[in-house]
Amino acid sequence: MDKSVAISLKIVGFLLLLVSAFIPLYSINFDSQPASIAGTHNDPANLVGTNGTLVRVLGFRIEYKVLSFSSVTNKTSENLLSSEVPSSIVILSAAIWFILIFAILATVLGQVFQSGGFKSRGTVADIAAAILFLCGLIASIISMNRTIFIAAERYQAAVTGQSASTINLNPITFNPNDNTPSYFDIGLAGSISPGFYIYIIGILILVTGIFLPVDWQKTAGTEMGRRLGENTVVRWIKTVAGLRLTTYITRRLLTLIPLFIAICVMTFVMVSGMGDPVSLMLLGKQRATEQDRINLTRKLGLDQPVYVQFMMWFYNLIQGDMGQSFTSGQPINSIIGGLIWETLKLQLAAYVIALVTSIPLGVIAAKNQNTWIDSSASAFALLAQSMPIFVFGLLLIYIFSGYGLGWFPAAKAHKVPAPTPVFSSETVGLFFSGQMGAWWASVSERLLDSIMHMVLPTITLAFNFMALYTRLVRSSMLEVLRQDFILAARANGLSERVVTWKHAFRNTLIPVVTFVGLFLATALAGAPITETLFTWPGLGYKYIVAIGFLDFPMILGTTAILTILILIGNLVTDIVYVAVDPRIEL
Amino acid sequence: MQKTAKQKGSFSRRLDSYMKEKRLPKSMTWAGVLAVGWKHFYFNFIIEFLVALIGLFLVLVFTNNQAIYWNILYAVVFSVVWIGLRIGWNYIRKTATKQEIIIAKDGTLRERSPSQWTLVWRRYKKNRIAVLSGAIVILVTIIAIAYPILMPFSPVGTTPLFDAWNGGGSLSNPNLKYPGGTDVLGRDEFSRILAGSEVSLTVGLFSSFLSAIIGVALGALAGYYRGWTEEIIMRLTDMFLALPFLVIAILAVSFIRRGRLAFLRQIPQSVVIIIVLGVFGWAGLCRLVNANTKQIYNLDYVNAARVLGASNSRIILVHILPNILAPIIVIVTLGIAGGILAEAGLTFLGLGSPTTISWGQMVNEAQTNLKTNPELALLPGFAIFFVVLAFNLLGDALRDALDPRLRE
Repeated sequence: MDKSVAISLKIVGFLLLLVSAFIPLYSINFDSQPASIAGTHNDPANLVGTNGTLVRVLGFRIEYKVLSFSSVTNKTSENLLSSEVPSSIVILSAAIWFILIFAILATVLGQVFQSGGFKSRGTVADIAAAILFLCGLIASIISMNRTIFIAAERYQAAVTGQSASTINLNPITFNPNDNTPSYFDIGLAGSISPGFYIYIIGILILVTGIFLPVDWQKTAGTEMGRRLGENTVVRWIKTVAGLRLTTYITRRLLTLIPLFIAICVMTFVMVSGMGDPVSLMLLGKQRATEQDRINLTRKLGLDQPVYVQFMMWFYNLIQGDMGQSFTSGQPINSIIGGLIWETLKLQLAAYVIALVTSIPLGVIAAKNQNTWIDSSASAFALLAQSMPIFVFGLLLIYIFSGYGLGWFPAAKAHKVPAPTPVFSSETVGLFFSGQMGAWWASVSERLLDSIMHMVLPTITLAFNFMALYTRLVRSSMLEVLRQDFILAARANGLSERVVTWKHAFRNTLIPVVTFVGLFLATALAGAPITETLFTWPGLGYKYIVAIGFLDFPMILGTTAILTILILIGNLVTDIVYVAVDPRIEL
Repeated sequence: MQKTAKQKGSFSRRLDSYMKEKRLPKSMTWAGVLAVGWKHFYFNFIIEFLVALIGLFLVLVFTNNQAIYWNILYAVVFSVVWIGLRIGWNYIRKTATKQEIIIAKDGTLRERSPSQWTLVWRRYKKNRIAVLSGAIVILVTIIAIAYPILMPFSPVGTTPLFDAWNGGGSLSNPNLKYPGGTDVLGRDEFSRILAGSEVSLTVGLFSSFLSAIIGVALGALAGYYRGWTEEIIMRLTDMFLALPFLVIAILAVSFIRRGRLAFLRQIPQSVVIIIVLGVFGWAGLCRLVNANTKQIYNLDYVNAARVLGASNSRIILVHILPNILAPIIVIVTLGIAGGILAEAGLTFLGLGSPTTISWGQMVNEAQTNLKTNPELALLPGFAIFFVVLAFNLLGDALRDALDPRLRE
């Protein structure tokens, strides 16, 4: 069998399973609303029952029946129903997904690790991974079934066994002390959601790919290519798939997933142990009862055990939802979306300035080795490296802001009140209605204001980055200048300028360019200090604030976003490194 | 002309008289005693003793510490300890140093070829900046240990407001009595800077050592036992490298210090920071050690040791680790600087405990009074800067001394 067939089957299967994870495993749909008819409260004759489908989990459907007294429009229960899902269902679906993902990872990583990539594979790895995978699959199906049936039995018992006036079972928490009068009728229905088909097909394809007998001596992509024919697209795909870089990137991407999950688990455990946000939020309230505390805890989802909280959070995270802030109630997505621009603006400006100044500085220092230029550049780099970022910032604030010369503002990103944003409806409206003078006045005010506020923090950050880069450029330039091809170039009579900038400098760029990705880690991790010093409304500053207020979703969201950025940065670094330097073995 | 001749004459006359009387003039005797005795074994200590005594006494008197006889006692104790250390050091050097002249196999006398560490020490001594930075580091260490007797005032006690007539009180600017001024609560800034050196240095040193222990152990294991061990350890390393360091450190410190787990909350502040910085900072070293171990793994002498039946642990500890010690030492020294910076950053962000005196925290607290009292923020800031600079210089110098190929 062709090698490429097995590989592509595995990849397609993996992708399908991944896709199935993004299709919600459960869906909530309320087909009907609880009725409200006038009547007395305790009269069973006025009891109204409404049926509907509450939750779908893959192929299974939970139906509900809301019994409400006609006199009482049961607002509370209705709200609960429309806003919350029985936690057991969420846990269940998230757990299935988790087991599945880990099984897939075990399969793929087992092969990658034991056999050094997709080049060859070991029987042991295959068998172990396949067994693990099947175990995970069976376990997930069994657990799914069991939980559904247990839930169904409980609800059935609750609904059928007792009369309407005495039933006291809350569907949300299974708490018998909760008197919310709403009841569920559970039945398993046969309609299967499309996610389930994708799930099954993915598993089949992946398993087929694993057990396919393969002739590993053959080169990839010959037979399959012949079958597919020879048009441009196929040739292009074959070329790209045949590259070892593709394999390398795939491998790196696959290792990033467990890395990210592990980092998220660690962060989540630390965050959830950080304190009690409920008491903090109730601190200012007068006459906060125990019931308030319980309600708030349940509303924030903190009544669940930590692993359940993590599953719910992570499951939502991969679907692009990071929850809502505890303090302001806004979705974290929109908060971070607003903040990350401010942070990146600062970091990128500082980075560009640092690059533009430090590369010539490093090159000049290396060219004039062991002269006063070199030693002063090195001394400068050393000073900048040893200077705590906040001390330098404070010094700048003391000299240039209102304390001293008063040239630049020292706090916030905009003045108060802030000028109209450049891309707001007002400004754009001015532009399109042809009032160019007014438009330019508004835009320039905003831009000037932005730039004036950016000066001090940017210089502070750039000063810090420059140290690193000057040293890096200087040392790699020295290394390159000592090599033979420089000597050859000089012997050929090339001018010193050409030798320096065309021959030496281009080779110096290899480590410098690859450092771009690693920079991201240091830059973003250092953001809190600078931003706190300048009260810059960016990610780092708000992160510190969120830690003070125990705003869990905000802390988690920030760390997750930063981690993703850093992981992508590292990946890009590695790829660029391989792409730039052909000497690197994959 | 005449003058020089006269001097020359006088000198020759004195020399003549010396040749005749076989007696040196008094001045020349004492000069000779000083010049020769400087190199003499115990004379050196006596001079040092006197200098240390006088210096310390002056410091204690000028810092206006306590009653005078306590100062004398401190000075004497300090000098005795100093001399004891010097004698001990000399004794160790004498006994530990091998003979410089040895008898070779053919019976001739030869100079022993210097050991690796002798060469390193010679290269280190040649570098003036290296010696200077080493001296600064030692000085800071002495301050961090002996600050209780050097402080003119208590770093936590407030000067009463009526002392404002004498330069004290709240938020006074630097003066002769209070060299660094006083902060909002009227505490002496100079004493606080001296006291803050303890936390900075402790955290820097021990966090770096902790990360070195973890990093070297894991790196050597991963490099020596390949396969699954390496995969697991290197994935773990990747994970720690991918962490946004400061962000996670903030999280970890607040988790330990303010979290729900009571037994974690009882750990002292500086220990928490040491643990956090150590646990999250080992990844780079681990990669380095791993790469170096892999490089050495297949060298002939390691294979020879293996053939002779040396156990795995012996090969790692005796044959591999000593050979990759140089980069480790450099990284650890630079790690101390990084640790001091990170500690200052964390405490600057307000994660320090109010009872601990720390430079970063002092900068943080002084921000509100930047207009009137900039020295409150800038002095501790520059203290951090100089200590970090000394450690960075030391690291660079050690790298040059340990591996001259890395120079330039």
